[in-house]
Amino acid sequence: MPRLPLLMPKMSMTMEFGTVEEWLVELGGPVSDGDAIVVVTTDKVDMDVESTCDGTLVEILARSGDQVPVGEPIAWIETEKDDLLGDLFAAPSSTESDGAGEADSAVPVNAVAGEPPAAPTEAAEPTAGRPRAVPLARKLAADAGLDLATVTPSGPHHTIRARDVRAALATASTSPGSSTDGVEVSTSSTDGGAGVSTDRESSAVGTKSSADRELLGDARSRRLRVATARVLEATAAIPQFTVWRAFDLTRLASARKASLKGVSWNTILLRAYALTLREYPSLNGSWAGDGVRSNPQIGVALAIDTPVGLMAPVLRDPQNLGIKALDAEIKNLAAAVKAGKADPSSMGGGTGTVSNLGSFGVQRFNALLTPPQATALSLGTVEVQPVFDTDGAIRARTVCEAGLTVDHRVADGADAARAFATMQEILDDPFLLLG
Amino acid sequence: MSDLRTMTYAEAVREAMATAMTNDERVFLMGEDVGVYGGAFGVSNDLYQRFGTDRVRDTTISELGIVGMGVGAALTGMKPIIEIQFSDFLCQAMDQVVNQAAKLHFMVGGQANVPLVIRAPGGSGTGAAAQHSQSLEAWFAHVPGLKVVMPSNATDAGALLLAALEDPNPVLVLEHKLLYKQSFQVPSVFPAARLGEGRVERKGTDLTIVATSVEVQRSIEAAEQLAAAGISAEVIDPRTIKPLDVPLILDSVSRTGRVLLVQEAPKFAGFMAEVSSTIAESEVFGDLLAPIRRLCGLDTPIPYSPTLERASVPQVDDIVREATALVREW
Amino acid sequence: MDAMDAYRTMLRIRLFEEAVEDLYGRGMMHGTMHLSIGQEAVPTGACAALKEGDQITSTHRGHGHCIAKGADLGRSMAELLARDNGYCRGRGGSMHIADVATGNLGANGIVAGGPPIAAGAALSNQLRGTDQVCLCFHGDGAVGEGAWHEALTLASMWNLPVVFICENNKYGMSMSSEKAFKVDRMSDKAAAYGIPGETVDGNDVEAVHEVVARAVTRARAGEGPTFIEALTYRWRGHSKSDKNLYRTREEIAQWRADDPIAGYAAVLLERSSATQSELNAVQDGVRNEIRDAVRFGTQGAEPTVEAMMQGIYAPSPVDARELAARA
Repeated sequence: MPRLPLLMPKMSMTMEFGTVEEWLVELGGPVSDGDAIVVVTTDKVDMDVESTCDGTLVEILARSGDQVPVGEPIAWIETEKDDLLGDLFAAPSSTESDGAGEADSAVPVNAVAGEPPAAPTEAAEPTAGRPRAVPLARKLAADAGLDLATVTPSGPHHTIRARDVRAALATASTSPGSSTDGVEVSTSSTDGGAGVSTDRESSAVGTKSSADRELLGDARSRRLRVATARVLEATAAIPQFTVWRAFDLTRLASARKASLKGVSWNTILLRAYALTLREYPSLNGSWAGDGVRSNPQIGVALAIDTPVGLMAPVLRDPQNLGIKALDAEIKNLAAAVKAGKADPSSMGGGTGTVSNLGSFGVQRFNALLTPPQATALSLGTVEVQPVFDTDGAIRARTVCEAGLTVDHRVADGADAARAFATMQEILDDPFLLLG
Repeated sequence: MSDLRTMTYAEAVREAMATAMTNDERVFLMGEDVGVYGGAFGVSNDLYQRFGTDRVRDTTISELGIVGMGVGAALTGMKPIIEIQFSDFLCQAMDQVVNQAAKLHFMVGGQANVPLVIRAPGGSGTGAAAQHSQSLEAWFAHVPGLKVVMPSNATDAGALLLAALEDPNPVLVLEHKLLYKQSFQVPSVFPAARLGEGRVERKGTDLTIVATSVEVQRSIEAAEQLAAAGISAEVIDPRTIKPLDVPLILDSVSRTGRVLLVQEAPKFAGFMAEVSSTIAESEVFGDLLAPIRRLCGLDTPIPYSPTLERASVPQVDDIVREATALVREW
Repeated sequence: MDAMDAYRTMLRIRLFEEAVEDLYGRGMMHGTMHLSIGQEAVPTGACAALKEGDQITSTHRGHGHCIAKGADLGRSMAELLARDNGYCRGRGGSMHIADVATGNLGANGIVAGGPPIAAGAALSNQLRGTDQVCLCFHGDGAVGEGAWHEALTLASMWNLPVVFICENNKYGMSMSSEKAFKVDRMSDKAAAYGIPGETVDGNDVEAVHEVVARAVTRARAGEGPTFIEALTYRWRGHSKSDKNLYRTREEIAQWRADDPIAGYAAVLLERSSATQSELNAVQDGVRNEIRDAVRFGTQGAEPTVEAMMQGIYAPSPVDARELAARA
């Protein structure tokens, strides 16, 4: 009598093995189509395996506890039932023309893995006429004052990578170890930059080894110096001049003893400057190459000396604040910046800068422009000076010598002079000044 | 150059449907209250009189059934337009949109396709509150097999609907309920449009604003205000959410270097996240001068109160503020 | 209905399902399978009432419907074996087999996914002015879905040429339909839609044919849909993970004694409509067909990702024009 195998069936989508738990029929016992013959465990679940034919259980191949792969026989049943497919998959018959095994010989197998490879795209050129660079590369270049147009890109689509900037800086730099990204490198001995020789003899005579020439300051302050240097290198290219005026603050001096008690001179002069910029939109603007572009807001950057260096947070539309509110705001801002807690959104976007060295006893100095701002105001000490009036008599005046540095592409000397005249009018008129 | 006429967004949709039904007897409209009532937003109006109640069919309130019937009709030679009264009600029909319409062409190995168009108004601003004001384009853009368009003006509302009817795949047309009664200048013949083609609405140099649906108009208005302040904004309307006109957007970004992405839908996991990533992963990454910025609806259901509703989605002043900050800070 | 054709069709379904069970058990088929062993008479009798051009929609337990509607056994088997020469190029599998060209709008993996689509096909037939009819096969479980209700509402409102055939095999997955539905007979629900409802012994292929033929005639004449409840039983669990905890062995044994195929063979012999050797010849013929189908399927090529990615969207005329222009 023919025999059919009882195979370990696949009973769930993920099943690969089953463990025989318990035979429900004795060896030699009868089975019917649909009867449960054996209990199998898979994925922690017990399942009954049913007979697919009527017959007799004549051979048991897997005992309780045996783990069998899906598709392998676990018993034989003697039965009259036709084995529909069995011979199509008879074991070593891969030479048969039936070829009905797993997809191997007759079946072309295509390598299928993940997404089809993207068609290689042509390297797209930058369209803006401006070099392409990843953000880190831009930062490194900006910090070092390096023009990206001079850097050779090695990234896809002609994109400059950080390493390209570092390479350009390394070849350009004569003092090794000029790391501008704040990573701690105290000497050049690690990067084999230009000029470093490990050959003691060649560098010995009279030449100090580069290891002795350290950069001063900690990483943060060095970063700040570099950033400042970058700005000033840019400002060097701008034609700028300074007009000087000794502002008469006598009237305000008395006011400061009364209603303006406690308000600093810096606040008063800053406000006057802001009001002046409002009167002269071109001085509040920026040179745009083909004309002066106006700015909708007035943003007065205040130069503040901090332990790490010079920082200039921006006060936006300071003329809109009441004088005392402005004074408080300036004090808070200075404190925050000195403590290293400046709000990043307050940095940048200024339309003019105020620098005040009066507290150090400096009477006058010329401030340099911070591009793209068109003006910068320098303030010296506020002091009482003897002045001859028109009668020739001497009287005391409270004065502050101020300088207005102006971008000559934006405005001329007369414009600057007029602006300062306006500023004096504002300082003379408490109603104008205090709004 | 064809003459321009003034027509509302709703009239443009109606005219496109009428044109399609006149030229192709396979096209018919089915939906709730589209017949004698004229459509909840007046879009179908008198179409039932012009084309008969066989081809302009009122249904029971059965979004799942209606969309499913659209699938069956599309599988067997027809080109149905299913109107869903509010895009929020697509939730009722999700199985037939996502599991059936989107996937049938694929699942049957290409034996058939489903040329189904579903039109539904979305968006807020009418005080209809949370269940009648959503912008759900991201859900459907996320389903392989669907196409999604969002016309921002009357000309596109007509042209894109005609393009959708030409497409052998299921297309979801998300109109905006605030735009239905608005008038636009529309050419006397709808221009031939392609799904997957966006448009530069306004040229600019300082930043690129990509906006969808009602935010396109708001962005154009914002761009005008920005210009007065010296900021030159380029405004792009992708028009089709999926497939997305990537080259158009990348070209603009490569020139301006700054991007502001504006959508009404809530920010988290929205469509603009896709646009943002597409830009960041592309060859124009190195052209970016600033981080890509999104301006989206708040992560909230749309509230009822007018002040809250207005505050929940980007308005013109929000776009001006964000664009200004982007350009000033970077 | 030709008796030998009916017998042959039922045998084809039975042996096909047994072959699928065998292949699945060997680990050669992927996923899971929903077998319709025991339910062969319903699709056989129903599809015998159709003519060329008529349509069907099917369920997740759809091999029988597809075979009764004339599906090619080889392409069906190849699809289940996930080969490129399958009906769906290996992309759909058991629950999405379709042969759209011959009106088989497809099996469906969503319960009650079919009824609205069937109603839509029927609407399409009506609008195009043909006399095509769509048969919607669904189960007792589908009657719980809103989509079923919506499809019946819309189909009856418009007198659409669709016939809804509920294969009530007493269980959704494990939920007993007797417990689930408060009506005495499922067909009582038809009254709610104003359409005729009938219950028939789903294991009597001739009875099924008679009822469906009447319903199809009605539909073709424009008189609208009919709801038919065919009482039957599935021998195997819902799917391959089913432990049959929700029904008793006695119940299974009882229904298996009412085998629609053996029953019909007995009827034919009794009527002398066929001899035993004729029946045997049919059996042998079907057996060979199934074996050929398995060979065909196992020799199919593996599908590729590249081809698959081209299959998500149908090319639009604009794309086609552009492709032609580039060529």
